[in-house]
Amino acid sequence: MNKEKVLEVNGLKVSFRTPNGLVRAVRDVSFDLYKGETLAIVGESGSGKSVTNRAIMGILAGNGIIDGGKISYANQDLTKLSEANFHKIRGNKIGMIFQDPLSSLNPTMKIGKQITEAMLVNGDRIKNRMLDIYHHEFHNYLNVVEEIKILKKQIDMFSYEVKVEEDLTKKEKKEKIAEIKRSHKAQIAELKKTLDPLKKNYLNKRKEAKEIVGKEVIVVKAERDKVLKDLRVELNAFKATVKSATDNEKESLKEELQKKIDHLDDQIEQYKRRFRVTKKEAYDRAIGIMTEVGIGEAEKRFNQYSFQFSGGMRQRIVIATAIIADPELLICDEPTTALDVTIQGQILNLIKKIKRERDLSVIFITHDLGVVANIADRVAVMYAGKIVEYGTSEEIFYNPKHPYTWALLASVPDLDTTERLISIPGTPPDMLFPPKGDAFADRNKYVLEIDFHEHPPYFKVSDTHYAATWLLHPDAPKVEMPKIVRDRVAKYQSQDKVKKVKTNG
Amino acid sequence: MDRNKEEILRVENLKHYFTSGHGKNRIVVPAVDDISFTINKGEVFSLVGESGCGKTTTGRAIIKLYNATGGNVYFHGQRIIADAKAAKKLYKKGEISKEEKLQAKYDKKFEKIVTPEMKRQAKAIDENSPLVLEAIEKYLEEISETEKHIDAVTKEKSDLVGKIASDKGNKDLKKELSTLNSTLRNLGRRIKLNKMRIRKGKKVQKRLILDKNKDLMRRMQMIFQDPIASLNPRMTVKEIVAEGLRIKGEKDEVEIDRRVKDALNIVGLLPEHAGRYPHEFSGGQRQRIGIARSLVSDPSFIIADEPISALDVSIRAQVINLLNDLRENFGVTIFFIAHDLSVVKYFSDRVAVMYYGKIVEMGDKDKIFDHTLHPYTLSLIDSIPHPDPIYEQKRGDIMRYYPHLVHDYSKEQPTLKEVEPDHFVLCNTEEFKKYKAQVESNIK
Repeated sequence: MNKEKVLEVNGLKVSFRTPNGLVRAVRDVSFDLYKGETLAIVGESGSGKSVTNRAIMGILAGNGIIDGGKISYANQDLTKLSEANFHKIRGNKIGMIFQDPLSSLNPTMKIGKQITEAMLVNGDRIKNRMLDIYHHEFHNYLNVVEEIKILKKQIDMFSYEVKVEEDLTKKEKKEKIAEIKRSHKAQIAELKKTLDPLKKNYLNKRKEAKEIVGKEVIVVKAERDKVLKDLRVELNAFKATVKSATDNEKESLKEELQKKIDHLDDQIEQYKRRFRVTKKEAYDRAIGIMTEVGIGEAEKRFNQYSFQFSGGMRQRIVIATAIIADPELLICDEPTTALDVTIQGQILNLIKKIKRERDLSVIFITHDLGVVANIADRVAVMYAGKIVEYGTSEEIFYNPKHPYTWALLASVPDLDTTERLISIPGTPPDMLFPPKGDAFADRNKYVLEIDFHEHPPYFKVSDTHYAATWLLHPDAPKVEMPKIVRDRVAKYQSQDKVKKVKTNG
Repeated sequence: MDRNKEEILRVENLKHYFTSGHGKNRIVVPAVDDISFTINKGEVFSLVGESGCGKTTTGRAIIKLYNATGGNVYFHGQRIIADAKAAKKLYKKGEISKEEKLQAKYDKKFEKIVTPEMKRQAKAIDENSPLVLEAIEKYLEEISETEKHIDAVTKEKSDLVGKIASDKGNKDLKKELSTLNSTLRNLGRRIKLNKMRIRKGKKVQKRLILDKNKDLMRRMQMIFQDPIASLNPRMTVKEIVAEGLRIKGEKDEVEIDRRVKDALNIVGLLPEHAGRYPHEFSGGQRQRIGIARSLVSDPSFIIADEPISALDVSIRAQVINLLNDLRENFGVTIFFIAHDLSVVKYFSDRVAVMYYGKIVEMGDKDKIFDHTLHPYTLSLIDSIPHPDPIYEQKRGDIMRYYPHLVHDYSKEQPTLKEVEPDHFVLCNTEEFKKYKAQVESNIK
């Protein structure tokens, strides 16, 4: 695939600090997202799929920390980005749709206001223009500040982790903590040295920007005054002619007068828009977007509250708020789980349509394999904070290799299932103490001895299909996937063939 | 329908209306609007529909968590829900007798009411009536059995005491001794209890007769959707599961222990889980606790209200398999409320599809899924996502159901009609003919 990469996640690790120790929610996750494709992340709750995407959005909970890894987006590492920098990306470049449409909408605000809110809040065009000019210097400075903050947080985090560990003696713990503090403080001191020149640089650039933009504003204002003055003079002259005209002419002249007044208003509005996003502008755009996501009678709906909408309509509103800023990447966190099957289909079709029309890249999180089959180009299966298998959706559904993928496929009945379902015994591992080897080993029917000792690397199945299971190792015993899955794949493939013949004939 | 099958629950014209506001602002929402169906012994009957169509309300009205607005429900042949208001009206018109009106009034709250008939029966019991004598005999037998048990345990104990005397440092032996002691205590209690029962033989029998109605209602149990919200966080698993037994009046701790252990065993939990609290369990295990709680009072009929929709994919199969086992091994009848059609198809024998308070199609599972007649059912089945990417990518827009466009009910209101054996569809005469023709072409 020679497509443009939009997002690259590399070795991402996320932990949460709890009274019992560090919960390692995401352990070494890597994936790429290409332009215009949909990547589905599948897994049960607690597998870290939501946490991964919250890390991408920079909205981890307060006790969460990114331990390692990189999230590269537009030549920036999102893990080290300051909050102010994130504002430029979150919502504007990366949109997000949440699971429960009711709790992601404000019940006390009209939905029109909610859709346009982001546009109006970020609507100061002069400020934005200035920011564009000194953006580079400013953000370099802020990123260093952020890095210092992260390092300080890490000191707390790591020393806490050492304290919780039971195998060490008190003395060893003290030494380890001191070591961590020393190394981190050295790094911080190093960074602090660079801070001053960066700040000076940024302040200078800001001054410069102010001057440039100030000049531009003066030019625009002068132009505006001139144009409006001319128009007003013309209008007044016209008014005088209307007054002096005979009754017969008056009718047609009045129409023309109205046109002229409208033109003047329009010009005033146009000049206002050069300084900031006006309410009218936001309204027009919101109506457009609402029609696009399939909300009928948008003008009427604009002034309603979220409780006046059904579940599916609410989800459409959430989608509208997400795409109003024209993001190029959309993260959907189980957008259809709270919806009925019939509505679910509509929303999926809507997301597909929007994706096609706007050439969006989509990350779609779900646990429903039927939904995945519907929407995904590529699929990543996550378990216990790791991606255990990834490939195109055809590969995952017709040629799954990892026992966990088998188990997932076998545990849902479809319309023709009659035999007993294969349930996955036990529960996911406790991520406070992540297992040493393969996390799925305890629940795995096809477990090998090595699974308990060493985590399997990714074995290549095809150019786009990888699976982390020792079963693919050349020395491993040959294991066939469960009968229920085999039957199903065979059935689908035969059905598809029949359908193809039918469409050809 | 197989007429030989024994019917366990019959619902006739059940209605449940939610109301809000008064006077001009009064709004009536017909959540369940005049539905009828029967459930046979040992089968799984599923009620499917979108959220808000009234399927949960139906379940709750049947188990009397809500007071139904109208209609009759018969459970094991006994009317448990009756429409007293309608009976009163009919009586005034002179269409039913006074006894029938009174009966409806009794049946409406039948589990709380003791009828004169029952009082008469209870009054007739004295020391020498056969029921009492039989019971006393049973208790005596139990006492002798328990005594034998005690003998065996005492012997074991004396052996153990000897062992401990020779091996003083062994902690395991001491532990064993303490468990033996506690069993002895419990057995002693059991003898005492049985002796008391003999002494109060007459009273116990009277109680049994007077509580007959309550006991019948206890044979119907419910499993709730959300395993977190439906378990009391301050009670241990044993307390939760045993609560039903205690309310029933069971005082024998040994018996309670045994039955709780049995119930936990059936649902695949370990006996040591009994002492823990619900928050210590995962979602699937919590749902198992909920199932154990419903099983402990030995139900013949379980209402399962979306028991798997709050669970994780990998756990769902466990719970479905468990419910399947219950049906096969214990002959429990299950009323399964769900919105996931593939699970319903897999799990149930008969299916009813509900749309805005009305059943639109009902009957044998295979007939419903293979020869679907009603457009709403068609749209539901069409919207099931398949785990098959090629199929999914090819399919276009999902079929939607617009009742006003599909049906013309201006001339005649629809009723539930039997199109073929055990296959009912909500339709008027015109549609009925059309469906009938469709069925005939299907058979060919």
